Amino acid sequence: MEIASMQNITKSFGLTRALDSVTITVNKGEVLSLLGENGAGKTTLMNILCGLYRKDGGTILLKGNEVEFSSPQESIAARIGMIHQSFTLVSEFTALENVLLGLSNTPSLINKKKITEEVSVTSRRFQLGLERKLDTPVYKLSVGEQQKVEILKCLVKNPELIILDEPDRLLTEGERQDFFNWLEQLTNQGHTIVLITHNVNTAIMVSTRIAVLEKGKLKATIQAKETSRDELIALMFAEFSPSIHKQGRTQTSGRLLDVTSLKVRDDMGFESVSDVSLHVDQEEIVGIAGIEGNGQSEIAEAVMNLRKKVAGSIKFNGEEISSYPTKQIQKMGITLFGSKNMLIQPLSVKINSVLDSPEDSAFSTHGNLNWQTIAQHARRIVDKYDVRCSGIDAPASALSGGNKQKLVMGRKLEQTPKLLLVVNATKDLDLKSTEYLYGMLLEYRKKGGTVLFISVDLDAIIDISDRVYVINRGKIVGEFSDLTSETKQSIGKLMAEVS
Amino acid sequence: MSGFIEETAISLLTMLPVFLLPALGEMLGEKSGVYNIGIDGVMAFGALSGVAGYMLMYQSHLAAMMFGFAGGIAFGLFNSLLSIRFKLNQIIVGFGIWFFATGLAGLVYTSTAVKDVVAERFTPIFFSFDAVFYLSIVIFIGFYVLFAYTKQGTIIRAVGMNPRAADAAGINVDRVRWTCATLGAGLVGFGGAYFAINFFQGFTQVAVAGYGWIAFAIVIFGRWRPSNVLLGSLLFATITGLQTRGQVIGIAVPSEFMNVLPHISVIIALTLIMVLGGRQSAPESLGNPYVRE
Amino acid sequence: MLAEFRKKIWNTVIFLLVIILMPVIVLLLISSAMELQATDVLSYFFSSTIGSVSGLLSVLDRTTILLILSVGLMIAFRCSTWNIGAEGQMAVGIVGALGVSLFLALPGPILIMLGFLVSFILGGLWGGVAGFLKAKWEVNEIPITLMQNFVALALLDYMVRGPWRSPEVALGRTPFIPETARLPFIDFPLNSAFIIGLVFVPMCYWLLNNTLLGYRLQAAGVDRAAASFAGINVKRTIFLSMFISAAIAGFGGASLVFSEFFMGQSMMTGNYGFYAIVPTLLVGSKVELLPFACFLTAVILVGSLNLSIVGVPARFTLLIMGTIFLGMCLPVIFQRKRKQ
Repeated sequence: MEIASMQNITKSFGLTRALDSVTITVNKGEVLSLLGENGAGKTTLMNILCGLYRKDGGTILLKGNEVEFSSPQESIAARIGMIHQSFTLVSEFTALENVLLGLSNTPSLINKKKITEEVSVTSRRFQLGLERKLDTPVYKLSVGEQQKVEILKCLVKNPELIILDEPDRLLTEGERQDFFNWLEQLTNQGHTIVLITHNVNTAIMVSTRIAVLEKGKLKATIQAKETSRDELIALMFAEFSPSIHKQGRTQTSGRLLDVTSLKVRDDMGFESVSDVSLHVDQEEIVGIAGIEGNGQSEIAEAVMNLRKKVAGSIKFNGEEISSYPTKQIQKMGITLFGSKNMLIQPLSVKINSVLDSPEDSAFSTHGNLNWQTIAQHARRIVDKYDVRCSGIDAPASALSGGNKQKLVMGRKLEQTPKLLLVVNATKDLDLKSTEYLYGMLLEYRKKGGTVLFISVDLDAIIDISDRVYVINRGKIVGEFSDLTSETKQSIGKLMAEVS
Repeated sequence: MSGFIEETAISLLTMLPVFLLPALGEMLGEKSGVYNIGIDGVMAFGALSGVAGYMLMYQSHLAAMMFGFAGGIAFGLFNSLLSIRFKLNQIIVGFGIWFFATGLAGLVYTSTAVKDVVAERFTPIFFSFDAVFYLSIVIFIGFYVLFAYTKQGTIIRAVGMNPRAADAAGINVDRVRWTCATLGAGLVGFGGAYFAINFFQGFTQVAVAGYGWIAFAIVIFGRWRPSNVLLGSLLFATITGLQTRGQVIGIAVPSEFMNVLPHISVIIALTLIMVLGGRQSAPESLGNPYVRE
Repeated sequence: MLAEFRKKIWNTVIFLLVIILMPVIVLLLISSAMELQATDVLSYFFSSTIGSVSGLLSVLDRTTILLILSVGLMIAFRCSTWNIGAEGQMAVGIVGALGVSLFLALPGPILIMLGFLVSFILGGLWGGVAGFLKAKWEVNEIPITLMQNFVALALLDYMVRGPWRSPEVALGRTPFIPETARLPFIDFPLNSAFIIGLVFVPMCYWLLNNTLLGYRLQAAGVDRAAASFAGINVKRTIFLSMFISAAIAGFGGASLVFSEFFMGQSMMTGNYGFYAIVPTLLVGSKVELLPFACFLTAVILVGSLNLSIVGVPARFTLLIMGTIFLGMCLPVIFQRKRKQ
């Protein structure tokens, strides 16, 4: 029996076509996976179903009746429950308060005992194990537990259709397994589930049917049992040709970066880097593989002294730099290429092209900006790095994600840095831009540059790195120089294993 | 001797509603994420409306308070319209309302019979405190219960802290904000009416000015929590009371400076509270309109 | 190209509509509320401002203080530092200028220059308090600068009615400053300080658009995190935005002493610290439009003051200003509606 049907759904954000006439159906009691890479449109599609976004065209049917949701409230009333990728929890609230937010038929005066009891019942029924943690503020819970709060929030409303957006992305291997077991029990109880994922293995493992999306188009809908990993990957990446060719490295010519026993605290005060030692030699591309949030970005921030280290030493060309001000470190030739705060978005492309060093004598004299040279510099970057914009006076915010990063990369590379720290620079970018940026990295290395490459994209790390460290919970748990597909398995395991 | 202490205590506390009512009102709006930077003007306009009501309704104090409330609501609606519906910069909207409301109040005052009104003070019911005093305490208790024990309070807090989460949970963010910001402004007007009638026996533009801002500061000082706002209001009521009391006792500070004792206190209070860690307490979405894609 | 041009024309039309139509509407409303002849009110308004030479001179003179103050405000606003303490900063500057010119036995021109310098520094320090509090502890500058107004005005009040009071006069005011320490008039009431006001405009333009400091102010005002990441010392920038803004406001206060009042009295700041917000916000980031906006605002101020002769109380200036403010929201609303 069909529970929901989305027919010929189209949605655009500005000029980007996010969904192009996509049709899917969800049958009662099944697990349907929406499989696709970043930007394929899976989340957008489900956000439309749950009322967070409005579709541009197409029809939505629930049990045969046409519906049009203009707010999440309406979809919730229609018994659709969505558990989002980025948690929509109020972090200062307790787990209970967060669950309470969604309950519409509770009386005004909170009878704390009663509600706690009711919520605990649901928690037990669905084996979420949160009964004792309901009074804990959410920011103190682990990621897995926070996810469970999200799930609980959804399940107390007794939905008929449950949508999960990339639920396993941030989980450790152990948590992942728990989660899949739990999912199985849920289906056995008769619930209907739509699972959004980019992980082929997950899709095959848990689904009844799989709908593959690529760049806003539906490629195919297949029974999970009748397909294979390779077939799915072929469908997901029909337009992708892995074109990154790594060249054999020339001899190392000395140690550029030497990090020893580094300890760093994150914004919450936890020691997210606890005793990391690594090194990067001249003209190497060294990758750090790990699940997001295991301390990788903090390492790069500590190197730049954007974040004070608690202990350890950081040597650049033999010199201890951990107490140097960031500007000085930049002058020494180290620069960070990350995913946020790289541009001051409302300002023009022009000024953003010199953001790292506007006080440089090339761009300003005695405190006065030299717009001519700045404009020249901006034009050079825009041309050389294929930054698509309507002009250098356009605000940086008008650029697409990929072009923003190209602008930043161009700006960084034009400074001919000695060491480039790349930290999740391709996060949320489309494939073409990602490819382009990786290509630029390899070019840079060819010309004598050195890269510390931090990314959650394991395939990219293996593709372009010469050597890979694996980080897990703030410690280096592995180092690999010989990179094959078998190594990828080993790395994946180390990344996900809980100590 | 005890009479002196009693009198002092009374004179120190007597201005409590003047601070508490607008402060609670502003707190309500801000907790849902909406500033009312025109608060001073709204208070002035509420004062005017109150005096006008008193005049129109045959010297009825009740009518005065209701008119004051209505005057506050009017501008509350206006503020909500511009800040929530049209999502304009709340600071600029606030400036506009501040000037406009103050100016409008002044205009009505000078061009109508309102300027001739001489109002009687509110009659005390218990211990030399009048009905409004006790009402403000009741309202405080209401707020306390609202935020500590009710679902509505949790919803308001969520809307202020993380509107996206609230939206995803099915809450109508804008509707919550409209309600809170408008009612909050109503309270501000309510307090303004009381202030004018009870302490100035009528409306005087110069007099009301500045107190709305003190209420604004009390909200920050109180870290957006009802009990702290009460304490802050008590503090400022005391300080302001000290002004008049100090003059009676004959403290030798030039009157110009005594007059700005509350204002200096605000500066000191705000600084202290931030130094001691008030940073984290503001509702995160304060001042930012909520936009769903 | 054509689209750009059309956009510019449209923007100018809206700008003029707001600043001209709004006051007219309010005047009409007031006329009817006060049972006066609308035509009388409007024509007097017009003739007392731009309809006569003396009116025009008055208006231009009023523009001076507005120019100085709005330049100061622009600098702060560019950094998203909402300086509503210009009134008090002016007062502090006045105290400084008076202190210099009443008590130092120096040649006139020296007194003037020293007076401006002292007012600049004192104003900057006064506003710097708020800037420091914001930079160091993120104290919201809005209530602080506002409260500081009251305190500074109280100080001015105290000084002119107390220690510096002129013994001959019953009203609280200081003695007059020496004749030599007064800026000459171009043609009464237009004072040569007007030139100073005009000079501030290109200086402001240069600062905001062509200097590193201007870039930093804007960056810190628009995205603190990214600015910090880009190596800008955001705390220092915030402090500077307040210091400079307040210093200029203090300078404006001295200008009132040396070009208009030639002494000190209560209430001499005349709410210009608040009125100057209007032209500042009206021109947005286009510094070059500031003289024009200040001129128009001055027209409103002078016109309103003069209307008290016809029976309309001066205090409705505040009302007009408020209307203009709110009127400024209209174009934004329409723009957004059109985008949708």
